[in-house]
Amino acid sequence: MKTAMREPAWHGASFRDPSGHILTVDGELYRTVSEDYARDYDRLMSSGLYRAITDAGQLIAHEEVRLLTDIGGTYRVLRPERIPFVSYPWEWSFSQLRDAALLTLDIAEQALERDMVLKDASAFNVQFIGTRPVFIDTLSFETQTDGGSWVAYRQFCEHFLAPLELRRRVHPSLAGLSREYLDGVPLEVAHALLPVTSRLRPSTMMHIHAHSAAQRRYADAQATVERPRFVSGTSRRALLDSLRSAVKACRWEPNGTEWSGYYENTNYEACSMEHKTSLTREFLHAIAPRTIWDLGANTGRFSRIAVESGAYTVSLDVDHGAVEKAYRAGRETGEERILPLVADLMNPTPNMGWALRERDSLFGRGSPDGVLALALIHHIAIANNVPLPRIAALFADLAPWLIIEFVPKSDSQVRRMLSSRRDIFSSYTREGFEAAFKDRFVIERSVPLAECDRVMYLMRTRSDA
Amino acid sequence: MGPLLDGVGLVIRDAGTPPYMLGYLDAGTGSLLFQWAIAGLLGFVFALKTSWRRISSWFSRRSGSEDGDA
Repeated sequence: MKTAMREPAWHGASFRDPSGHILTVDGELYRTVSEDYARDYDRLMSSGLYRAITDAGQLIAHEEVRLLTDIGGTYRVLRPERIPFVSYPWEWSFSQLRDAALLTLDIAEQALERDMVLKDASAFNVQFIGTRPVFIDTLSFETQTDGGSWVAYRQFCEHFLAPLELRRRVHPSLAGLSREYLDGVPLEVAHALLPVTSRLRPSTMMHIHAHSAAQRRYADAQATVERPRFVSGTSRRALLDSLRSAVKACRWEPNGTEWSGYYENTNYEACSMEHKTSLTREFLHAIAPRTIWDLGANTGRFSRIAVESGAYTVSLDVDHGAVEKAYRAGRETGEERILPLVADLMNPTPNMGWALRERDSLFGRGSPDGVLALALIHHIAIANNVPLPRIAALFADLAPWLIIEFVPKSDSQVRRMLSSRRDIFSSYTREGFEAAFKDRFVIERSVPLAECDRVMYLMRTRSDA
Repeated sequence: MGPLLDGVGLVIRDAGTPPYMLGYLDAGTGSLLFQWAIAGLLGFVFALKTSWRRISSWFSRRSGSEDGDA
């Protein structure tokens, strides 16, 4: 298939692996396969491996295309299936990272069966379509030629095993270490942070603590290593099997995190949930969105309503426990239209990495048709002191439509917030809220919720703002 | 760590000798040595696990067919 093209734009993260590169042309995403990688690519396609793992939904499918503009040194150009929303490992809940790790191992094992090897084990090679993890790097496969060592062993431990252990044994917020260390959490950092008791588990002792010690011992050795003449196929499979057992043993229960029991623990539900649900549904129907970002989504109750309206929904919340619950619920039903992610609106993922172009900011990764901001405004305006006009400006920049719930000071949630601090929020009233938002939005609908002082709004961004 | 790593007959060569081509990733010297050091142990455990699975599945098949006969 021939595809016309303008000037290609090379993806900012596609430079490490010389096997090929990602580029976009006219908004379409392509992956080039370099001449040097031709043999491995052909083997991937002819060995049955590509077919097996794409049929299983584990690897993103692609079609081969021909571009009119010649790109030097290119053997093939692929057009991969698009991922609705790109996410990063620190934005994943515990089980998302765990499932991504298991998928990586599963694919590595299937590659071994066909005498190929997964040459890297970066968590960035996994994305989620809703709650289904999928491997996206088609060029990660090489023909097995050396003695059988897995060159990505350290990378797997640093991208998956160490972060999983740190999250469950120390604190889920240590997911942020993956944001700090884009190339994987160094094992010596994991070794230093993990409690001594973690050494009692043989797999953790081996793959993190002893592994880290080996790295330290040879860190300054100005030497290169000659591989042994023979490492058996059994040992190769054994390493993957051991890592699989280590990952499977990593479990974390979200009980007790700040917001994971929000709906269960508040009297809010009895008050107006039914009315709020029907209004949200009605507003969404009016927008008919293709994509929705549900900000402060908690366990995703309203994200599920957004999906009913036909939208692919990115369900964002700051609480790891709430996102974990949302993800588990989605996995149980095979949900591929809701992507739960951990995100702190007060400190969302910025542009990161080399030249600040390797990893895109949260807000730079998509343009939703609408934003849901339910039971959220008081957390931003009062708990974090963000002035209402600034909140309106952010939401207006994100999407043309906004469904927002105003939570007044008379609400029990806000009263609790103000019980231990001085009320410096004189403009935090329904009138003040509407005045601030009218600068950027046209208020299409405003409906007070039954038996509550809260108000639901449907707003559209002003074209003259 | 010392005896474990030294006991598998690995060769450390001086810098400047061309290294083996191991892909575009830097696998890390210590990490590679460690992987090779644990390969035997993991292989042994894996062989035991695989054998155990075969034995237990043989017994469960046999007991299943006996139940079926009954």
